[in-house]
Amino acid sequence: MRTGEVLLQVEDLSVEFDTPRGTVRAVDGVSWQVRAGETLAILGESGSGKSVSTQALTGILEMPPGRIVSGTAKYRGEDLIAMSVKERRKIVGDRITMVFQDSLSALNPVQSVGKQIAECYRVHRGMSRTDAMRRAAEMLDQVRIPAAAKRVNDYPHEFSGGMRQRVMLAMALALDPDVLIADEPTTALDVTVQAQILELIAELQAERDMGVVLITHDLGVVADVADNVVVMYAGHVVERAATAEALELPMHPYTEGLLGSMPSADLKGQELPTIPGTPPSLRAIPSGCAFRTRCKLAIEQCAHEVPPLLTVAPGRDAACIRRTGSALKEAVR
Amino acid sequence: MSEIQAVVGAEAQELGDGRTLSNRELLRALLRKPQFVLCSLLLLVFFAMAAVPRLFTSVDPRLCELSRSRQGRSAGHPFGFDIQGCDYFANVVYGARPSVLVSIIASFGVFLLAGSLGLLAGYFPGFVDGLISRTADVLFAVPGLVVLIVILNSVPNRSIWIIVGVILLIGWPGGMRLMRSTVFSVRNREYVLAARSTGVPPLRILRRHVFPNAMAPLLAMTTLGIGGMVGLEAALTFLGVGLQPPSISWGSQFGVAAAYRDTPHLFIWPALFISTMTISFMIIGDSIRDALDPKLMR
Amino acid sequence: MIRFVLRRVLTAIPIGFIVTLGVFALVFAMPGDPLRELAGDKPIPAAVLAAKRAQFHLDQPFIVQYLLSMKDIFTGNFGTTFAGADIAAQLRLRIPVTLKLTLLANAFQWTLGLLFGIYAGFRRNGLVDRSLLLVTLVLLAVPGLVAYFAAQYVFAVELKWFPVSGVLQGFPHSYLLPALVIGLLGFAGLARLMRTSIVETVNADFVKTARAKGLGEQRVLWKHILPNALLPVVTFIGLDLAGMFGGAIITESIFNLPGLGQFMFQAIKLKEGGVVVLLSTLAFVSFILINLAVDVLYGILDPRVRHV
Repeated sequence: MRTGEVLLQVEDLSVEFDTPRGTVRAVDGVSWQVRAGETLAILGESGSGKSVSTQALTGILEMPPGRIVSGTAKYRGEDLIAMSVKERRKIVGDRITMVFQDSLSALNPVQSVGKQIAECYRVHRGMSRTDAMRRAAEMLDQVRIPAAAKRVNDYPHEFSGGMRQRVMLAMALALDPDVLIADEPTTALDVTVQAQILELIAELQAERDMGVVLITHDLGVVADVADNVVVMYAGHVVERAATAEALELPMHPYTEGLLGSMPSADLKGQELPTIPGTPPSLRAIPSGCAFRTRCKLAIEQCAHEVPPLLTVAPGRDAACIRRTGSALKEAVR
Repeated sequence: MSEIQAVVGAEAQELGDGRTLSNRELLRALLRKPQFVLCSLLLLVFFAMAAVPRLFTSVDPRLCELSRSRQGRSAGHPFGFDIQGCDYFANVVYGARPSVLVSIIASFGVFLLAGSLGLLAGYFPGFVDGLISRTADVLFAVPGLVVLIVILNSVPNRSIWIIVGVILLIGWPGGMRLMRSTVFSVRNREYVLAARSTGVPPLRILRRHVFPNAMAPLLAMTTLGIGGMVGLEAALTFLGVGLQPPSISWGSQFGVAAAYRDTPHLFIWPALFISTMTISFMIIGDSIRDALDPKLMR
Repeated sequence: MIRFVLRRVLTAIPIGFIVTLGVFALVFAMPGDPLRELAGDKPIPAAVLAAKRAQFHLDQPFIVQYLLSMKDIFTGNFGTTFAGADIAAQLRLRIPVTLKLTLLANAFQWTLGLLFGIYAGFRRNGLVDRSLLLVTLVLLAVPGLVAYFAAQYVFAVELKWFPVSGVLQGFPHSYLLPALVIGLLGFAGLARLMRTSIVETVNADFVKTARAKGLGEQRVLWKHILPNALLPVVTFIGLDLAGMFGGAIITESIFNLPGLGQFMFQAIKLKEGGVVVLLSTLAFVSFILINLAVDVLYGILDPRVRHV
């Protein structure tokens, strides 16, 4: 376990959406934290609420229809959710920054990349236009974009997918943030480019002792770079552990299923096991444990109560009544 | 006309290609909207007026007494009299027919023509697309109204059919471009590729797979444009290149009203009828577009 | 950029040829003899008729007539109308009328359209937005003819705020009412387009990025949303201005403004092929120029279509 300072601590975060067909709870009582120098992976399928939780705490979620029902997100002890928009803007974009999945649509198509990076310096540091542009070029160089000085004036569509994601990174890291939230940063990229970007993030993280929250659906990515992992399913955290331990001995049947469905040399020639069924629609989450309809361990009792997230070992929490047992009744929230 | 097309085109562009409501679902969604129901009822009244004007008035619109010329309302003559001393209510009622006929037939015709040409242009790039698109470029480059006037002016006996025909001739490029662009986005979808790979003949692919999935924007544009057709017919008749006397139409009533400004009722009644009709068409079109919008369907 | 402009002008030439030829053919195909009709019931001496025919090239075969008209247009030798009016002098009188009307109408349309469109887009589902959607729906639906007449009746005949018709009171007084109505009708489309475009851009990913950068709401709106949302509106300019000439025929005849639209209409009625082709060429050239300007402007605003 890393022992750096806790930078961002999310507790009991719940987010709901108002839809024409009623209210939907996308994130339900989620807690996690990230320390300086740590990489925390939030793992889950689409619709598990992994992106919504980070968008809610940074205030970029469309509200309405989204709504934060409860919870706190403390950056160095200050609650981002409770503070005013103005105060939050001094932290989000400066101390906490974000990288998104689809760099083509996440960059403004009609502004040069240099200008978009320079905007960070101009708004948060009040730099002059020329200084900001010079810094932007330096940032492009830091994320290893060849001929950075020349390319500052290029537009997003003139870069390849991998290079564009580097631009996104340059923009996010321009102000030396404490926490980087990377929302599926490599999903849209080729496998080789994916590895380069992840490596680059790791390198820049080590230089700055930055906390990284990596949102992904790819267990392979988690295994490669994350120190700790939070597994989400249907808006709930179902397992929380150090990556190595989770991979070694998954506690929750969902994590187990995900691990089982990873292709590996051992399974060569066999049919790849999968988790039966499909993730539930947020509009029709099963009663009790949301995973029970797809779970091979499910028993009658799973339908009656939502399994609490319980500590099963130091630094390991899971939400499964079959696995946590009745002996460990100590709720960790 | 082109202006409405541009706006509607942009608003309709977002309509789902690939996602279609069943007719019954669409109807149910529409019937939930009170403004849609109200406007449909109003239109039904206009349609009835066009089909059987006798239902609404027993007075013969051509039975005139010059002595009552331009008189105001009186018992049995709620709209007063026109310059010839004919009952104006009967005239306005009988005037519904050309407006309804021209707008409905021309809109349907433009929908079919623009739809098929757009399908062909979008699905067969190269020569077919080139031919259709360049023709559209030429038609776009001349003011449509000028061509309409020039052609209609050279036809001595103008019937509803001739007016519709000329509108068809020059009215298709806008819809064609919209259809073409939606076909472009649909033509390489998996279901089309699948059909093509199993040897389904092109025309059948177009009819069964491409058209149903690409028609929503054009449909919305067409329904929103029907009201414009009503106005166009009236404008042509007003300019003297539309319907000719003795046919009764709102456009010719405007023409007369323009010359007799001191008798406002000559203008007010046809204006009220024509506006109610075009606004009804517009609200119905707007409701249909909303119902087809996938973002609102969730 | 220069190559792009040149290429566009070159592709416009064949289209211009087809357009003018087509219009000329249509006028040529009109039945009846224009000169005889102009003279009415009076018998014209054969010699006069023949001389007139020669003057207007009416004794030539179709294609020669067309080429001679085009030659006249390009040499600036516009000649006279059948009735004997000097066409060049007519143009000098009439172009300013149509131009003033169009510019004034556009000034109203763009000020109102952008103002309301942007405001409604930024504050969607607010009071302004909801009423705008309703009002513009009605404005788009009301036939132009009805709107012009109603405005003329209410504001000119009854309230006497504006002259009923004609240009005797000069600019801008004589032009205000027609321009206001045209502008108001055009504003509906523009405002709706602007609003729709903004509402769609607001949900774009790069707006999320801008918010994640900790930018203030105003900065996000003006620096990120608006430049992108303006793009579809720019293409609208071309279509809109191109439709102005057709619209001028109706407005100028209702408000009795002696502009190009009225000139065109009279020429069609009198089957003056030469004038119709001249005015069509004028309309076509302005159409091409406007579209060229729009494309260049679009290229400046959107680097993705910038031409090398």
